[in-house]
Amino acid sequence: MLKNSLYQFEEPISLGFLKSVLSFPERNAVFVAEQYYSYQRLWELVDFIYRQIPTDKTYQTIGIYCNNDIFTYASILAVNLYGAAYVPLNQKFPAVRNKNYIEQCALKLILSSSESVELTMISKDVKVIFTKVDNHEITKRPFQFTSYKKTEQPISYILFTSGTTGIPKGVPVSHSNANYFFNFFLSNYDFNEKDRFLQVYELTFDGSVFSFFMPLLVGACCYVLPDEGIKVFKIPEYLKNFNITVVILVPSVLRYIEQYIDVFLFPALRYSFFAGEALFYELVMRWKKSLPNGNIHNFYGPTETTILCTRYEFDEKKSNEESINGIVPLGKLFEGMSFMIVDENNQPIDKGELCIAGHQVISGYLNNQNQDRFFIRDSVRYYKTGDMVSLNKNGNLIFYGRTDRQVKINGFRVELGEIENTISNYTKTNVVVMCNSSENNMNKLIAYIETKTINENSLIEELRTFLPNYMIPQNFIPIEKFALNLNGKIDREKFKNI
Amino acid sequence: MSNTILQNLQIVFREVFNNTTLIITPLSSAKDIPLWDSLMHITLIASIESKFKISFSFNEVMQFNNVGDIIQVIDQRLKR
Repeated sequence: MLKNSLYQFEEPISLGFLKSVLSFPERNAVFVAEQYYSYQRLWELVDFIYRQIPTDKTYQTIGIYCNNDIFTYASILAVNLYGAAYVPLNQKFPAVRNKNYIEQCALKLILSSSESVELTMISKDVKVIFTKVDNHEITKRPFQFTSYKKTEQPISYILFTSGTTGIPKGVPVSHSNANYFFNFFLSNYDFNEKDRFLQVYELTFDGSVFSFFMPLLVGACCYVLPDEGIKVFKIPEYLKNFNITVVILVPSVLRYIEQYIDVFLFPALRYSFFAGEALFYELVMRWKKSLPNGNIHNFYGPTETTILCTRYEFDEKKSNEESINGIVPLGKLFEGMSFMIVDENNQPIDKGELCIAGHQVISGYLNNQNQDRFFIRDSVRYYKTGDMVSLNKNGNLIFYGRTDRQVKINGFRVELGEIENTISNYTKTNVVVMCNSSENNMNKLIAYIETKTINENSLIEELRTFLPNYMIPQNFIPIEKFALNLNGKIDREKFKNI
Repeated sequence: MSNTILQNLQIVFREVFNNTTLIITPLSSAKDIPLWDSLMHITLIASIESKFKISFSFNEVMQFNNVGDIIQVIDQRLKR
C-alpha cells in the first residue's frame, strides 16, 4: 500500500485525487487561465469528460491535445482514472512530430478542448472528442470513491524523448512506476492541503507529472503558469503573487532571470526543487537569498526512471565542499532504487556510466526500441543513463557529463544526432551539430554544414516542420569541406576547437 | 519620440532575429515572431539596453507583453 493512501501500487495515481475530493471538496485544486477550480468542481469536469469516452470499445492509450485550460488537465485525470495511458500532444511541436507520436502509440482516440486545422490534419483515422463545454452542459452525478478503470493495461502515461536516429523514442511509465515515485514524496515530505504548487512545464515534459499530480494527492492547489508571453518571466511573478510554497524548476530558469535574482524575495516558498540539468553552486547561492524560509533540493532522473530518482539537500557549507566543477551533487537514490557505475563493458568501476535499477525503471521503450539501454546483472535489471558519475565519500553521486552526444537545452533532452539527421535530409550534405556552453553556462546549438553557402531562412523554415523550437540551432555555419580522421570519418574533434 | 524609439527597436529586432526584412509594430509580440522564446527574449532585452543605454528593472521587464509596452517603458526612462 502507498503511504497516506487507500490503494495499491498498480492502481492509477488519480485515485489519490479522488481521495482529496473526498477530504477537501471545497478547497482549491487548480488555478488555470485566471480561474480557481475546487476539488468538487474539478471532479465534476473529470467525471463529465470520463463519461464522454466511448463505451463501444476499450482504449489502451488516449491522446490529449494540450491547451492551457482546465479541460486539458481534467482530461488527463479522466484518462488516468479510465486506466488508459495518456499521451500528451503539444501544439507547439511540428505536426509531423505529433503525427509520429500518434502512429507510434496507435492512438484511436484524442481528447481536445479546441479545434484546429492541425488537429484535423494529424488525427485522420483517429476519433476526436471535444472536451470544452459550458457550465450548463455538464450533468453531474454523485461522487463515489471507487475504481473507474475500464482496462487493466499497466501504463500511466507515454512521453517521448529525442532519438539518435531522428525518430523520437516513446517512454511508457506504468501506474506502478508512478506510484512508487509519488510514494517517495508522500513518505519524505510534509506536503499538505495548505501548499500551493507551481506548474511551469509543458505537459509533454515529465516535470509536469510531478507539478500537477503531487498537489492533487495531498489536497493542495496547483497553479498553472499561463502560456502567453515569455513564460520564464512569469515564474517570479507567480511565486510572489500567489505565495507559492513548492516549485520545481530547470536550472536554466535561473540563468534567464539571473540579473534580477537579487531583488526577488519569496518568503512563502518552502521547497525550491531543481532537476533536468546540472545545477551550479554559485547560482544556487544567489537564489538562496530569495528564499528565507525555503529548502533547496537538487534532483536527478531520466524519464525512463520516472521523473526523478535521486535527491540532494543543498547546504551552503556541505555543498561547497561536495560540488565538483561547480556542479551540485545529484545525491542519493530514492528508497527502493539501486545503482551501479559501469565502464563500456558494463563492469563496475569507480567513475563511469550511471545505471539504475528499481521500481521506478520502465519495462522498456515503446515498441521495444533501444533494448541495448537495459541489461541484467545478478538478476537485477538496470537502465543505462548515459551520464558519467562517481560516488563521493558521503555516498552522494557526482555528475561529470554525458558519455554520448545527448545534451540538455532548457532541461529538454536533445540528441545531437537527431538534429544532424534532420538537417542532412534537407541539405543532402554532411552536418555536425555541436553544443557549446556560453559564458553563463547556457547551452547553445551550432550546426556546421558541409557546403559553400546556406539559405538560413529556408533551412529554419524546413526544420520547424520537424523539430521543436528548442532543437533548432542558434547558428548555422557553412564549411566547404569537413576534415576527416584517419578512419575516413568526419573528424568531430576538430569542431570542438572552432 | 515613440516613432524614433520604434525605428531603433526595429534595428535591434532585425539584428537579434537575424532577419533584415522583419517589420515590427507596437502590437508585435512573441506570438507573431517565430523563435522569440525565453533565450531570444534575454538577448533582446540586453540588446535594447545596449542600444538605448538604459538598464531595465525586473518590474519593467515584466510589463513587456508586446513591443508597445517596451516603447512605453523606454519613453518613460528617456524622459527622466
